[in-house]
Amino acid sequence: MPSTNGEIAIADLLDRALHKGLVIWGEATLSIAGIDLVYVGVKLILASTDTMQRMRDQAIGPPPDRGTTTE
Amino acid sequence: MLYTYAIIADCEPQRVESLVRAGILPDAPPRCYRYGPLAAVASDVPAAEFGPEALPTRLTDAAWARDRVLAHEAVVTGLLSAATVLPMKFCTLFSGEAALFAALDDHEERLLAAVERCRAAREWGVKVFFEPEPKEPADAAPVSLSAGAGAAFFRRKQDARAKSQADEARMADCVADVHEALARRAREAVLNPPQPPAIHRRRGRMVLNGAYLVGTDEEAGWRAAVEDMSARCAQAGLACELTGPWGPYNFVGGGLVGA
Repeated sequence: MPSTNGEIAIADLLDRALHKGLVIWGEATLSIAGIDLVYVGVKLILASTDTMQRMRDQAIGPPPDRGTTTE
Repeated sequence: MLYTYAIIADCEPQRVESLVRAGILPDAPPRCYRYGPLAAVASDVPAAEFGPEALPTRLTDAAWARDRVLAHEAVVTGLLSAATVLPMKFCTLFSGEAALFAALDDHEERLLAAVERCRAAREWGVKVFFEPEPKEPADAAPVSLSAGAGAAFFRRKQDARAKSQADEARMADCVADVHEALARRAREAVLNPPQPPAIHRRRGRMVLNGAYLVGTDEEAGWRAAVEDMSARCAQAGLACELTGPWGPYNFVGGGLVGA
């Protein structure tokens, strides 16, 4: 049964925010095409899941159904 | 410049601005830029930090980059309870309002289609880890030069290899079942490449890294399926991990890359 462990791996966020997400290119869009180049480096360095969880908690309060782990 | 976190719909702009007060920089609160039924949530940021010359260098500063990624996510997560959210890729910047509105205009149809797909649904992540049993140390068996001992040694090695192949096959079956069961109950599903150990930082090998867009009215059934599949995984010696809810990052990218 899933049980809450209260941690969100930052790797899961980076997989999303750096690799996925909406991309809209317009004439004046300055999206950074090279963002993927820093992806691995940034991911390896950003180790703290604790910081991540604090930010999310501050953003929406502690709902009961986030970050669950089943072993 | 405008740092854009998300395109949203089904929400009052005033409510958004009261929900998310902290932006990508401490002194850059998110604001709503309304465009018909859509709105962009964006912060005015200095070109000295986010301009095309400055940003690539800034991103090599790990502490700075980490805080920005977390701030981006805090805004997206903060919006989830109040709106239909299309999260933007990290560091999507427009030179100003004119460029932002021009992009919204160019992509309106596809943005509206994405809103339809993502309305009243949330993204969840499911990862499965495989921990093979530790191999018998090669030097565990007493060394003997007799022919019988040699044959037994090779038989043991053969048995171990057969067992490990069977484990792998059982694991692959289980992982396929998990994804199939969860995808069937989801609105959409995506299989992402498993993260390498240096990224997931836990024991075992990641063998499934799935993302599922689940309608809020389907969530109870989908969560029940996750529990069933977790039990199925446990029987096969696999660990199943659920994360979310996320903004639908995995379900807004495809097809929206314009010319």
